[in-house]
Amino acid sequence: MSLKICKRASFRPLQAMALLIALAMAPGLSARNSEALDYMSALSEPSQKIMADMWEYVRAQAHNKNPGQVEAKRRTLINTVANTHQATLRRPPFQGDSSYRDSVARFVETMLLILREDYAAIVNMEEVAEQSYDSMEAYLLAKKKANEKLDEAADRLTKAEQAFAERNNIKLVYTESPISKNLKKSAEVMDYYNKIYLVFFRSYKEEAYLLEAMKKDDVSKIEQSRESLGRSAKQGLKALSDISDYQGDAAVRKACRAYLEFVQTEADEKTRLFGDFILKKEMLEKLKKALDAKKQQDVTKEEADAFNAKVKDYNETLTRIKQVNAELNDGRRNAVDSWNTQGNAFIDRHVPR
Amino acid sequence: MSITLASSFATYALAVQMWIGLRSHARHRDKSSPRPRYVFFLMIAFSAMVGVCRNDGLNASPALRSHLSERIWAVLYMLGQFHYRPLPLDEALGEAVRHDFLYNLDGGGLFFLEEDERSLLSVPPDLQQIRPGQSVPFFEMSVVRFRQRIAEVLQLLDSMEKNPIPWNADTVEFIPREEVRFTSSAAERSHRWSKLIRHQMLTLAYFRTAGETGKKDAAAFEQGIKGGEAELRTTVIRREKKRILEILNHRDGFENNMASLFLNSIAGRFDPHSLFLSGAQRRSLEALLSARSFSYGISLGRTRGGEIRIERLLPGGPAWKSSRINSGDIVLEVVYPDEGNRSVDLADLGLEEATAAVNDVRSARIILVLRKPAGLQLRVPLLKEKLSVEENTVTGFVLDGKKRIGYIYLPAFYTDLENRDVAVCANDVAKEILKLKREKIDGLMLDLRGNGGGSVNEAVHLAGLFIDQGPIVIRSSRGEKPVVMKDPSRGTVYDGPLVVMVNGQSASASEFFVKALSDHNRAIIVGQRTYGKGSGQVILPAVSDRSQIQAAMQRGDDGLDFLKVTTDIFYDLTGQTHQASGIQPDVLLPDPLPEEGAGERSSPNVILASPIAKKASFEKLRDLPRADLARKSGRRSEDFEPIMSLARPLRRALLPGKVSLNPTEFFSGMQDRMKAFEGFERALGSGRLPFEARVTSYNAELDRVDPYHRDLSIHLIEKLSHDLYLNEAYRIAVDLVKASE
Repeated sequence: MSLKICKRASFRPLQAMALLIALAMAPGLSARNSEALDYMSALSEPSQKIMADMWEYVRAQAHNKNPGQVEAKRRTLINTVANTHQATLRRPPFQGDSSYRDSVARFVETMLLILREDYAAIVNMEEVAEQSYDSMEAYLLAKKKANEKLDEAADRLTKAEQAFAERNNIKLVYTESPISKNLKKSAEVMDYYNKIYLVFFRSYKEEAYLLEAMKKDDVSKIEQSRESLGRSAKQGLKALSDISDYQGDAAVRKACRAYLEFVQTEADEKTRLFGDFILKKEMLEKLKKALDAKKQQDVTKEEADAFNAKVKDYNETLTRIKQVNAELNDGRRNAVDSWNTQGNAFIDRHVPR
Repeated sequence: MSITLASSFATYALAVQMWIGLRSHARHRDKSSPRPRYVFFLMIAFSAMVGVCRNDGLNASPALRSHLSERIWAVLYMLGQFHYRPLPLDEALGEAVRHDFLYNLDGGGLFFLEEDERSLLSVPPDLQQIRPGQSVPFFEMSVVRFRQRIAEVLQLLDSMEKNPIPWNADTVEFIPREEVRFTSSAAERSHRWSKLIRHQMLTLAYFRTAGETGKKDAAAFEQGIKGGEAELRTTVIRREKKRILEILNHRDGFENNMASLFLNSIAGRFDPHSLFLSGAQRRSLEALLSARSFSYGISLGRTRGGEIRIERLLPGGPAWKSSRINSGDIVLEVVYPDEGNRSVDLADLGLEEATAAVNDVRSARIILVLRKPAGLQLRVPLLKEKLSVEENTVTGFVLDGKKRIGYIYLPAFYTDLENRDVAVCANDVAKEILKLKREKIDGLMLDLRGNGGGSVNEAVHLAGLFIDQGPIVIRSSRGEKPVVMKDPSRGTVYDGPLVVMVNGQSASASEFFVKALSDHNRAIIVGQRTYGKGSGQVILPAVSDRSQIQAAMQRGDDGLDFLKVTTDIFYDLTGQTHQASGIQPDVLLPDPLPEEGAGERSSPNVILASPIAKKASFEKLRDLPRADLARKSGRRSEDFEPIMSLARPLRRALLPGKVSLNPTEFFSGMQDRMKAFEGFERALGSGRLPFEARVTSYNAELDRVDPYHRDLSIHLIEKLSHDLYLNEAYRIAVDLVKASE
């Protein structure tokens, strides 16, 4: 059985964007100052377009259920960022000084790579792979590291921009437009959601490993995944208890808690039976082989009785396994469905329209 | 299970697998007996030449002649391309290979004369000058000369067989293999043979003398020698002649076998683990490595007298079904009916060689010639069947004492070559651990003594059972960035107190396994310094262009040569390697013969590897009370006194140096040696047993129905209960459990 969970786009570039650049000029400027202001405006102006496109994309993500339309908005955003990057690179340095332009270009490029999920261009993927357990963990780690790079680029940009303004006697005034306000709010909502999502996802992935191992009757993997799932559920529940409700909205936390409680029982109790069952099956086969190797008349009544008792036990365990499997499938479907529904509803409720 | 490959080999992924192992066909070995580092020349006389030619002409055949240069070319090409430490193809290498070849042909110095060495070694061309299609004069002349020397020795043996042997005051000296030299004259050679024959006659007579070691009667022995001289002489000399004929009539062909030995002499110069394998040898190796293969369902052992004995029969297997074979029967000979009834005499073969002869992958049928305990001889034909021979390799035991400790002995990191997606031995261990966990054990002991390695992936999987996640080992291939091999599955199967036992024969994958657990602070390592093999090998076809590798593997024709090439060195998580140094246990237990397990560093042509800059990042578990456990163990060291007091007689028994061929002196010397061995075994079994061993309740169910398993369990429990080292490791495990509480 496979269950899909909602994948959401990275909103990190949006947080960085929301904080940046809206500028005004101080009165009484010299010609050089005026030139510098034009230069700065030209470089920062496309950020308005990026913010607008990003907001469209974020809104679509949060409220529009048509994936085609959401994807179209993402493409538009990527195009805008790509064009901005090219345009920035084409701009000449300001009177031999390229530091401001370069920091804008680097920031926009990093943002573009993150939107395209081209993490290999930003972080050392070999290092990431070595530090990660699996490809999903590597993806998340790469994303985290890439976002850190974006933060660094944003910091550098802020510094370069302030230095440029200071050198040219420009006064920077950071303002909040309605769009940047919306983006900021959305970023806050997504940040909250993502924090819980990561808790959910860790156990979700562990559960997938357990199910795969069970399908293959792989005893060592079943046992390892059970232990690991039980542990991640426990850690998840602990982490969840440290996160408060979002403005009185407990829905996502509750849905995540319900799922974690489900997998904890699955790992610690319900699937314990499976490893035992494989051992029982193997033992039954060995017993059968041992009895088959004997001549019929050499098999004692005790041996035959013992064997029959084992067959009975095996069949009972098999019935129990089927029952437990059905229970688990139902429980899992409910918990994951609830997680998806509650998550969507939460974002729909809190991201501005 | 996935196969382990350096990235450059990725394209050959289907065909190539990586093995690291001291002896890749490691089998159950008697863990308790010390093994000599020295090989005695008398015993190695034929070691290089077990196994045959229907080419009776005196000259090397022209087809082989031109073919050999192509094979040499390919072998040198492959070693140059893939070996971790390629050697320059200079004059020195050529000379060394030629020298090694002669001594590989005649390791005991029983055929060639000094003048042969002088004249043959000066024959050109050198390796770097060999081109495909050319002849190789050195090889051809060696073949001719060797055949001539064999003919001379056969004549010598014929004449010796006819005349009574004089029992004078001569001695025979046991020397390390590398000190063996050819004799200076035919007279000296015949004297050497005379000593060899006399020594074998005395040995045979000794083991034929009735009674336990202490009760053997010197007079009866001497009577046996005098009265039975003619019979002893004929038996021993005929046995030797038969062996020599086996060289001449080698199943691969006399010349072909010599060519294999020559190519192997080249590989051996690169490092001790690089090997040349003919197609048949490769199949044989793979069958031995595989957990599941065709077999007769027999497990062999060795009697103290050196005879090969049936240890156990696998229920339902061919030998079992024959109803004519029992454990305890002595195997005298293996006959191959499909090869014109060619036969191999098992007398004096090592256990591994005998096992290989019985399980010869090229034969699907054999006839075993057995001697029943009552003396009756019989011939039993057997047909191979596909069996899971190794299914009982891993058995968990419960040791009940102050604490309940689980115990698992793992003789090798075996795997299933036909199904590489599944971890075989790691899974077998996991199942036993699960059974032990159901017994509510307080701690676990994993015994890797004598474990010579095996599949890298199995070792990585096995380590993964005990650590949550993270790196296990760093693999470095020539010219490539080192690669971190990680635990493939998050989570553990067992996370309680863990003790791992090792000794001087724990090698290769065993070593990086224990090092990883130690680096993670996951286990206490107990025993002796390990062997020190940190290299990994792959089996590749010997072709003269790397672009042909894949095609050659897919074609898989019988004539294809293979090479086991050392391609990698393994490093621990801090960038250090145990190659040529071994791993020092956390708790070192006393060893009566520490220098006997000198390990890899004492092997010829050993690779010395320097540390690498690469380090793997991982989270250590909290520190283990290593110093405290070692201190507590040290206070119990008097338990080892019975064994330590035997150090001197044991060393004399193992390295007897000069042995008298005077019957009276030989007898008393032999008595001393046997007493030393028996004393060692007794001492090993002495001491208060701190636990009572039993099988898990899961396995007990099988024992109730299956006499084979029951006998096996009884045998293994008996063995566990006579092992001083295990006693101490148990006490350490108890201390560890207490410290973890």
